[in-house]
Amino acid sequence: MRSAIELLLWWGLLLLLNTVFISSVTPLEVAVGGGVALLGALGAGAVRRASGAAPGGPARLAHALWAFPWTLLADTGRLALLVLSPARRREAGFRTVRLRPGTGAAWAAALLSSTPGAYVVATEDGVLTVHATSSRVSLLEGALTGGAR
Amino acid sequence: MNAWLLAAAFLAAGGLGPCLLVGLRGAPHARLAGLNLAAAAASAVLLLLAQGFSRTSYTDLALDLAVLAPAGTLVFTRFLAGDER
Amino acid sequence: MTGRHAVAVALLCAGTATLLLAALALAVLPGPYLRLHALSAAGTLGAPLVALALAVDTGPGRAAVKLLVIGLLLAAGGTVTTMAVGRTTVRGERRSTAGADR
Repeated sequence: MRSAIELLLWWGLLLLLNTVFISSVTPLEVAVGGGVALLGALGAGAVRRASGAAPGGPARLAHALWAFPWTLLADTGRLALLVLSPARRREAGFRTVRLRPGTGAAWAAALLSSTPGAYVVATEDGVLTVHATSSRVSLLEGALTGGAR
Repeated sequence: MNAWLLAAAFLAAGGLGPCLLVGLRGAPHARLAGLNLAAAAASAVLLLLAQGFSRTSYTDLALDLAVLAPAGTLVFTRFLAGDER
Repeated sequence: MTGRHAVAVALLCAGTATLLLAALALAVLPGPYLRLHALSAAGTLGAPLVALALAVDTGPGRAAVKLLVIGLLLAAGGTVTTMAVGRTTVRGERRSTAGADR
């Protein structure tokens, strides 16, 4: 049952993508897209099962998504400061980020790495090893760790 | 000459130029960073050219690059990590 | 200049500035780890802002959604590859320092 739902979701997503990208939406195009999307959905489901990947728990997701845009802008500003003044570069370095229990390491690492302030190089047991531009805890990092370091 | 073409010109010179500098010198893993940034900048340049020349078909080039460039980078990372496995 | 075109040009300037900043940071920042932060800036903020500017200028419709999807793909791809390049750099640096000790 779950695999059928997953197949349907993949099929829907691929068909939607196909409809967005083609130049004219005619019944023939949609039919062809639907058929190829089915093949793609079968393949996508198989790849997901083979990879064994899982996003992880949803704890702190809302907080993290709220903090994300501000952290993105602030970190880009900080990157500009780093380029302009060499003195601030000394603060950068590797450190660890301990996620709150229930927070999925995969999506948390992806969200953290998408900001210029930090990128994740290793993850183990809910502890991310990141290289950060400053020792100060950003909004997003605070959201993911729940305040604790 | 409109705003899109002007931006594309700036990005092609100021965005891809430093990437070339980084990509032509240093250790392999250092050059990979230049390659990665060049992909993002090139996709943006292609999108701008599509709008600047009013040819929507160029957008498909940007789409292809957006999908294939990460795959290429991952192939390179796998290749560079290959000795350890 | 209509309002929509003005917003599009403003977004374009922001996106282009971010991409140029990222390229400058990549070339200027010292050390192998520090400059990788430029990759996230370009992939998550710079290129999607350009795509958003183009989508705003195109106006509502399927073409704008296509541009937004491209922006999303650039953000996702950029994030994944930044992490991959980070790990590769750690491995490469470790290997080169181990080789230097020999």
